[in-house]
Amino acid sequence: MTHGHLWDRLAEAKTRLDPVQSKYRVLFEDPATPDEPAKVLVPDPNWMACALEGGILPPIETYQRDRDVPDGQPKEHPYAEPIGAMTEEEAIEYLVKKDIDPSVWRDYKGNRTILKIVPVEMIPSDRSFRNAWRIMQ
Amino acid sequence: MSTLEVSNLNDGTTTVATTYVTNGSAKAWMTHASTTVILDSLNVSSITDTATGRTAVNFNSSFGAKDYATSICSMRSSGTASHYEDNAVSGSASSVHAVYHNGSANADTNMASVICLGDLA
Repeated sequence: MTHGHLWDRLAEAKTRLDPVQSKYRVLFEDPATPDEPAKVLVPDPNWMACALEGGILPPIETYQRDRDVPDGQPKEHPYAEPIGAMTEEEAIEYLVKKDIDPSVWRDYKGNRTILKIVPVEMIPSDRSFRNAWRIMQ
Repeated sequence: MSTLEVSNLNDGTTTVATTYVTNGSAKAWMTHASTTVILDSLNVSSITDTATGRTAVNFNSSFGAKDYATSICSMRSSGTASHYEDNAVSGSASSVHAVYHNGSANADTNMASVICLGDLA
């Protein structure tokens, strides 16, 4: 049986899977723009449900190869064979590699900590000084 | 899962191709409360809160090119609410950057929605 297009699998999964709100957030800073505040990545609950279910999302390597594919050219990730179920921790690691630039999680060689996976409770609820947020060293 | 193969749809008087309907459906959408809670979505893997009033929406299945259409709507409990897509940052088939504004500066929104239409990769 063909696994079809990723979008079709996502649409079908949404009809049967309950969303899962992750207990994690990813804090990161972009070394290319050191004056900008720390960023907070929030996993999508429907995406997390797909990751935990398995058989829906493509291998992370396909997204990484598609970064180099010019617009308008065929991309690999929509038609790649889906991977199996992940744990929530594995799903967060997958998301870091998918939605954060490799200059943050792979290429950075400096001494500062510029990426942290933290429980959602550690994100400040007071956003008064949001544009000054930095990752605590 | 069964598959219905239909090339055209007819309502009794008018016939349209099935692709007329499928091409017009939103390929990615999401609603979020504040900037850190996603309420519901389709084809979104995450959002990134990049600063006050700025949110990047990351797609699961990328668009074929960066010229897809985006509609953004935001709500604030008081004052002016405006919103736009940041072309200077966007330019990507795999994410869109929304900016929320209170009339004088970027400002966090109470709730917002982003809808994207176009051809997927």
